[in-house]
Amino acid sequence: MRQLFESSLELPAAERERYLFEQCADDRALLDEVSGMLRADSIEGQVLDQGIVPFGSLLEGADAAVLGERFGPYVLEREIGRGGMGVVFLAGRADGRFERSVALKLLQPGRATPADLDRFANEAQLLARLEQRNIARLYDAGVEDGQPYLVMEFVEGARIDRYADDARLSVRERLRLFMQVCDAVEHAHGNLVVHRDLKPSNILVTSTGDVKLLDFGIARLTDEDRVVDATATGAHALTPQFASPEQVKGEPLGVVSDVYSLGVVLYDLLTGHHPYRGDGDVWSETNAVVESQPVLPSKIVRASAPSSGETPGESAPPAMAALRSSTPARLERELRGDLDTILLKALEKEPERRYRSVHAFGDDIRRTLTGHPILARPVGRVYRLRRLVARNRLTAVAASVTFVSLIAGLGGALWQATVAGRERDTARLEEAKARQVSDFLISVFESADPEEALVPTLSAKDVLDIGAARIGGELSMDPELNTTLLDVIGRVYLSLGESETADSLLRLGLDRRIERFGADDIEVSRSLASLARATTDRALSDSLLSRALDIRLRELGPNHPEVGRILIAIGEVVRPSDSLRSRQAYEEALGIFENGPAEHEVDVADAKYGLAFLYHGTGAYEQSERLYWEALEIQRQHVGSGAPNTLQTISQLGWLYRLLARYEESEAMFSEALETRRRIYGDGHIKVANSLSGFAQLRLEQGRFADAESMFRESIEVRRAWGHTGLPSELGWLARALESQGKIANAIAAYEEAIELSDGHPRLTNDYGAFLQRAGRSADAEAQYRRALAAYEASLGPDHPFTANVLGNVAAMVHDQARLDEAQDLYEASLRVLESAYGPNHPATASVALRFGTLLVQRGAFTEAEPWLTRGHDATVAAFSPDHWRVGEAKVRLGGFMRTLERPDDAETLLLKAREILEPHRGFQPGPWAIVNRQLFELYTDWGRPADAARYALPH
Amino acid sequence: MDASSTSTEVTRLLAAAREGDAGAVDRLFQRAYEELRSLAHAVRRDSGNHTLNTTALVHEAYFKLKPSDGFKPESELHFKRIVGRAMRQVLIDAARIRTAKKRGGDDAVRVTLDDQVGTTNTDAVTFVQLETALNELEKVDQRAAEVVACRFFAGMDVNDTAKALGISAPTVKRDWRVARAWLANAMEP
Repeated sequence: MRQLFESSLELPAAERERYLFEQCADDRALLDEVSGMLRADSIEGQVLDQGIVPFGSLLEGADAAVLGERFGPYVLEREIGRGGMGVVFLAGRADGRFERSVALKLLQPGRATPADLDRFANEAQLLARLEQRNIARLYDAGVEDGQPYLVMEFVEGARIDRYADDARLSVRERLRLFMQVCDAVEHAHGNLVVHRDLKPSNILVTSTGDVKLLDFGIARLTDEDRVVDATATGAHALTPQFASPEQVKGEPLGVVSDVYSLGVVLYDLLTGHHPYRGDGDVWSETNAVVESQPVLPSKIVRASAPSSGETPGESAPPAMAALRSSTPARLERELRGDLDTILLKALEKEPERRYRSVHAFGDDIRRTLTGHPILARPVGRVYRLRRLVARNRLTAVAASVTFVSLIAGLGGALWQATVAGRERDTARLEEAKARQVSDFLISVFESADPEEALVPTLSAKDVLDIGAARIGGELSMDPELNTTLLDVIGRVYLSLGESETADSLLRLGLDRRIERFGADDIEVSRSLASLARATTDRALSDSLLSRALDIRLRELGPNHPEVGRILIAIGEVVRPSDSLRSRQAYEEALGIFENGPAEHEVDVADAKYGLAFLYHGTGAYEQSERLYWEALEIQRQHVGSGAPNTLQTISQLGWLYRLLARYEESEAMFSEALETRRRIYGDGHIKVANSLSGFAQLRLEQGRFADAESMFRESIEVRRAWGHTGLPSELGWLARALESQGKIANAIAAYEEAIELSDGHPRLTNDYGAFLQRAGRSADAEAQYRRALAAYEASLGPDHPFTANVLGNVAAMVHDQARLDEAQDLYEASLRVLESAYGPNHPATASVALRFGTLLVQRGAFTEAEPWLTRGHDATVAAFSPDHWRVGEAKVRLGGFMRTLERPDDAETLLLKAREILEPHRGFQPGPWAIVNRQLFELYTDWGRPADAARYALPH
Repeated sequence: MDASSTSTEVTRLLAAAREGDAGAVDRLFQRAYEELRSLAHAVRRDSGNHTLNTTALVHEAYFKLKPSDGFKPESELHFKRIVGRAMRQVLIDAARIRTAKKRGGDDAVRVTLDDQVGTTNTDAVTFVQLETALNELEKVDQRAAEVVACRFFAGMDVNDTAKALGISAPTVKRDWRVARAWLANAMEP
């Protein structure tokens, strides 16, 4: 070759061809080679001409890592994979310490700062702790020359989808395989690690059939929370087909994001398709994740249209089914029902509607495998609303015999705002029924004694009583009219506060309706709702309403106003016990009514009122105020300023403003409610009394004690007439108003009546004790405290913090009477319970601790006293606003201790501050005020500063 | 290992290599290879986007590794050839990784836009072809292949190549011309 080439070169170009032909007559290959060389020789810019400089480009970029390069103790052996996040190499230990090869992943370093690299190392430490047989271990991580790398278990296996196809796994076999995936993810979640990038290429199956998940949590290492801003440089790789909507939207990710991705993986595994039919373009797929609803799995397996990018033959239904050892028809049957439901639940757009955990997801799959009913429900609004149904529903409620329990629970007060909707509901009865009802009521009037009936003093209640008697007894009456009337009249009794009568009528109505229509009829739901309003037992109420909601959802669908009204009632009933469920119920109701026709304005107001009340209780005062006002505006416009609901809202605003110390606004609200109620109901009505209570408490707080007293007295008179259970509490308030005016004897009388009427209610008794304590009557106070203590011990037991609190009060009185040994035992017993129930820093604990500390000081046990006093002081300061009298009292006690320790400087600081705090409270807390002045007087006297001392000399 | 002990080590290894110790050549090669890798790494990080000057890299690696007290003349060329071979290995490793990219991997659609931006894959393909052809050339004309190794990879001029290979300068030129034409023809698609 060489010789031929060189001799050809010596010839003129024109003669070379002929020469070569002669020389290579029988060697065509040699001829071609040399003539090719000659041609190449004549052309400039051959590969060798530029030297190796142009090949420098090969060494650029993040993936320029080269085999043989070392990372920590590892040497790269060969490349085994490549993804958006980096390149993966097979690597071995350079020092040969371990035989095993590992997968070494080089991550795109991007613009990592040293802080990023630190975080990377920390995160990697967490991930390295994940040990589960289905998770590829992360052994190590490091940064070499600014290049972050991960050392992972090297897994030899096939992608799960390909493995399943190659093995022609059936649906059941695929589900079992997938359970291994769930186990792995669940384990990681238990360790607070979210995968974030679950997809078939990260899920391998080894030749032994074991699933191995790769790259757990790695996505987070490379790009904290920021995922798919593909327009930004450095956006981290993501496979949109498997990303959750929140991931695509760049929102925070949680375990349910993995649930979603697992859902897509399973969908793909079972059907061979992606849940959304995109055209293969990245952007449309990203949109589909957020916007499109998944195609039902059982439907897609019969669909003939192949998704793009695949050859039609491969994704044709028969071929897909064959890969699952099935036929399209059979595959459809296998997926229909449970698996459709499970997959759609996993693929819900809203994270909170998905399975809450991979465990729950896996559980349902396990159930289908074992033939148990799954827990997921077909998804829909109805389902969501159903979730608001009480968990421990009393299923037996439908049987009329159980209503004995109802009667037992009756006789109490109306719960607030039950009036809401009652009159309105009456008005909204279907017109025909309304006419029948009015006809009946007219007939009641007519049939009454004509002479009596014409007397104007015949009250509506008298008429009702006549009517009720007739409805109850008249069996010949049209049954539907009969039950409707029972409901209407029952509710009227309820609005009159006659719960017991209301209840028996409503119960009768329910029984007759169940008898006539069956337990699941919509009419039954109406009786249940009315009855729920009649009972004061919230748990029972909840179960009645939940049952009514069930019926209405089934009969009327999720958007019906009657569903909304039940939701509002549920919101109200569970408000004290389950504020989250309450809020959800109100918000769902609001959704129904706000999207419905304008005629539901009043219902919107009801829902807003309910929410406002809820927020009022939970301390979200701004939202509460806004919602009250929104409700009020609607109510004024649509039901009038005098309507019960409107007045209720106004009163609530009064309470809210009082709480916020916005007294003028509070007063405006209370006085409007009071005046309107006086006008509408008359002076002696219980609703007027309710308005009076609020207003009077405001007056008490404003320091207008005489006004407060007269309002409390009026309220008490009304309550006496109505036999209302709020009476003792009102008497307690009256006593406060009297005490504030120095009317001690009257206050004592009020307390004593209150306690007697309430049958020795421990809270009132304790209040009475506190009153006597303030009055300086320690022995009497001790007696009352002991009564309260006995009552609490009987009802709550000795280890309840309420009991311990009162015990602390007893101890204080015993202490006051200088029975130190006894006091010490009592304090210790009280503190034991309080510390275990509330902890050492609770204000209740602190208050007792301070007293106990003082006792120890008196006994000369300074060392023991000190921790009680300092901790009591600090806890009190932390718990109350800085100008609270309790803070002042704590400082007095600690200051006194400092005096005892002969630390006059510290004592002075504390005592002066205490005096400043206590001065505004001197009227109501005379004890601490007297003590602080005496302490200061003695401090300055001992200090030899008589002039200063004189300023604190006790008033004469 | 500090600089002086490195250079002592290189001197010792070179001496051993000249006595036919294959292990010493391997170790020298490995040393040069690592030096080139880390130089490329360092330059890459400092210089941003412009193309790495591979010839300069070879020179720099050589000067970093060469003994402080100098080489004997024949050792110097011997060592340059080793550095050239290391450069050739560095480049072929890089080129193989780039061309390997097409096969295997994840076939899912990816959103990543920053993935290996601007890499001219044609360079990698060309280099792999060159390597293959050079290996073939070694079989048919080993000396010509050696000339390519010296001039192309080790960056020697004609005279040094002649000295390193123990042939005359005109022979080097002739070999070069043969190799140039032969390789170009062999790489023709």
